[in-house]
Amino acid sequence: MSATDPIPAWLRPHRDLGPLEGVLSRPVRLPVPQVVGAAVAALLLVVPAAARTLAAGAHTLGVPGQVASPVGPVWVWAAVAVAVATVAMAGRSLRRLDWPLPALLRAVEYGTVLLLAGASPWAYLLLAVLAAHHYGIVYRVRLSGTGSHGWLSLLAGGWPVRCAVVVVAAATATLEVVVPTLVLLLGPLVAADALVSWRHLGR
Amino acid sequence: MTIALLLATTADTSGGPAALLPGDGGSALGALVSTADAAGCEEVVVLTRVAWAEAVREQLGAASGDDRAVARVAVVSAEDGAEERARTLAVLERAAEGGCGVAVVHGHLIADDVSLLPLLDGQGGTAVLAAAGPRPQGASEAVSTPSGMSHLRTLRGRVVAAASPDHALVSPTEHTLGALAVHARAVDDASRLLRALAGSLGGVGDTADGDVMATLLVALVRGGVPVTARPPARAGVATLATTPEVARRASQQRAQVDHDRVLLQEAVKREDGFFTTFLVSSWSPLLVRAARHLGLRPDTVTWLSMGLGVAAAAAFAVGLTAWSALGAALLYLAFVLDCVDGQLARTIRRFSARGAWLDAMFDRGKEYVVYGGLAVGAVRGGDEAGVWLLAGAALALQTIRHTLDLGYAAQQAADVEGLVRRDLADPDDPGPSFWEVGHGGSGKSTGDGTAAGAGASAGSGAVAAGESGGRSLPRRVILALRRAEGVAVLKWAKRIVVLPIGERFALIGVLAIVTTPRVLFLVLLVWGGLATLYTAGGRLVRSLA
Repeated sequence: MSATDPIPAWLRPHRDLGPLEGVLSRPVRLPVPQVVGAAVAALLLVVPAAARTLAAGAHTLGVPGQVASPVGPVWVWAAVAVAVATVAMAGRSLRRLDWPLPALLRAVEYGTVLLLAGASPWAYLLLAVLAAHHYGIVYRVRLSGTGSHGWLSLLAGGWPVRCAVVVVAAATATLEVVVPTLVLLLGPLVAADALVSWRHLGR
Repeated sequence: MTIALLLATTADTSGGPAALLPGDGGSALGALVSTADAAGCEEVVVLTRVAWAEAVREQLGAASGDDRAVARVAVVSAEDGAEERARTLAVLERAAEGGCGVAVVHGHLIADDVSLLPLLDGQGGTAVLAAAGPRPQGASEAVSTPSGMSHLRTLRGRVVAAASPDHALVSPTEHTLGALAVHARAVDDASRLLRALAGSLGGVGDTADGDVMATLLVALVRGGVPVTARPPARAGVATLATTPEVARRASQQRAQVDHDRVLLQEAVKREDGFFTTFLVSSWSPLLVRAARHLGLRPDTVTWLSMGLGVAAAAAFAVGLTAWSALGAALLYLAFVLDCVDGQLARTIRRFSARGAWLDAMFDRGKEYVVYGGLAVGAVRGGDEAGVWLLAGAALALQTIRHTLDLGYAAQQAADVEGLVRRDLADPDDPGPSFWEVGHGGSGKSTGDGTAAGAGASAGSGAVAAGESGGRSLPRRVILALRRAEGVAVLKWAKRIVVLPIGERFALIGVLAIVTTPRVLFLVLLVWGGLATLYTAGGRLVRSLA
């Protein structure tokens, strides 16, 4: 297990890095395993997101953006976590322990959306579109052996870019415009991708 | 399209061809030709010993009617094992040219059509008919002579090692029952691999007793072609007969098999959740039968199921208890139809990648549309604060749990892939080192996957391999948990606690009626969160064991 271990083939499409795939898949590797970096980032996001959700469930807190954060505004916290996860993608593979990586990356992205923009129907729609995108990847890999269509993974941006957009929107207080825009941009893309799968798998 | 290669090379106890022992259609072989016919095989090749060729031709001639649809029944003969392999190779090469699959079946196999069709109709992938446990040794007359059974080791339904007269196998988990299907996509690889292996075995003049099937299986497995171990129908029969007495008894059993009933029974998945098994699959075969009579396609049922899911979401969105009850009923029906589509596809043997994709996408679609409907219902009911956050978190948690399952399954498949590939000629078996991937587990804790079957024997390989391997603490824990599976209550408890799709839908339906969406989401989140920690923790231990 050297530091230049290539990423296992099965894992590649599930990393959903979009245009960053080329940059982060270079043989130059960080000594830290990807899965460890992703786990740290996921914890940084999932713990406060879960706290916020359960608090909202218990009626004590319902307004977005009011979670107490040790590093100033909550978007700074999220930005740090997303940066950690993104840099970790240049780390090495742990082979037998790679299996949680796709789920951890989903946790980073969904956690960012929940933490920064969770309490609106648009945020729910955004999560639904993202889930459809990710299931699209998973089932296409399983049924036809290949991941997303190249154009989709480029246009969909990959999770680092999407998370960055949400973080910037939170920082500039433009979530109310940006989240619906993301839904309206990504929704048709994912739908088009599903149609292509439908036709491709039919034969 | 499939070419059936029937091996009439095994001797019965009196030294004659076992394939010609009495059976339906004159003989065991005659019955197999009829089954191949029913499965739509375009050609049947019978491979026999030179001395028996005349008798076989006579038998088949006497049994054949004018109504047979099989284009051609050819009889070829071989003197020894080498020639047997050469004949088999010729069939594989012809199939590769014609884009056909090949089904190799022992001529003395007496089995019902439901058990055999998946191997003969070209739709069951590359698979071998197999039963759990090592080969019975002298337990009956049927196995007192070489009878065409060989040993296998499987992991989550995939064959990871196979035995042949030239290849040893330690700690077998299953034994073959005399039928091996090579899918059309794999025939090219099969002929290449068999040629390579035959070359290494040389022209040894061993007797022609049907071992070519075991040899072909070893070549496929070690060459990296995924081979599924497929059990015969639960209420079916699959007997390799080498005495008239066994042949007669098996033929009687075969004649008594209620084809339609067994077909429906087999359409129900073997390993399913508690709710699905007892509250859905107990009566869903009625709907499968109805759908068949109406001529519905599985895809149509999938669309109907999605439509019911959307209707359920709309009913939940009203936000009144009476409507929620209607929503719960619609959601239950949607889930029943979700099971029916797969059962229908298995009954009429009509599979498509598109159907599987649609089913998987709509499964999730239904659930997340229902979450949305519940949130709308809460908002309309005046309980707005943070409810979209709860719905979003429920969606995120479910997707993440599912991704954990899929990632674990994908990595296991990749690990197995790396370990099964071996030197074709190596007479030894790597054996317990398979513990490396033998950490077992079904890989689908939420039970929502569309994965090819985690077979009935899933994980038993881990026990066999683990017991001869080391005894670290994690391994002992895993083995103890696996033994606990034998206790029915614990088995079902383990399956319910991870909240698979059936239990989840039932929980949503009940809670939607008796409480508010807010509480419903909280229960889903807390239960789902704990289930995630439970499964992920268990797998982490297995990965480190």
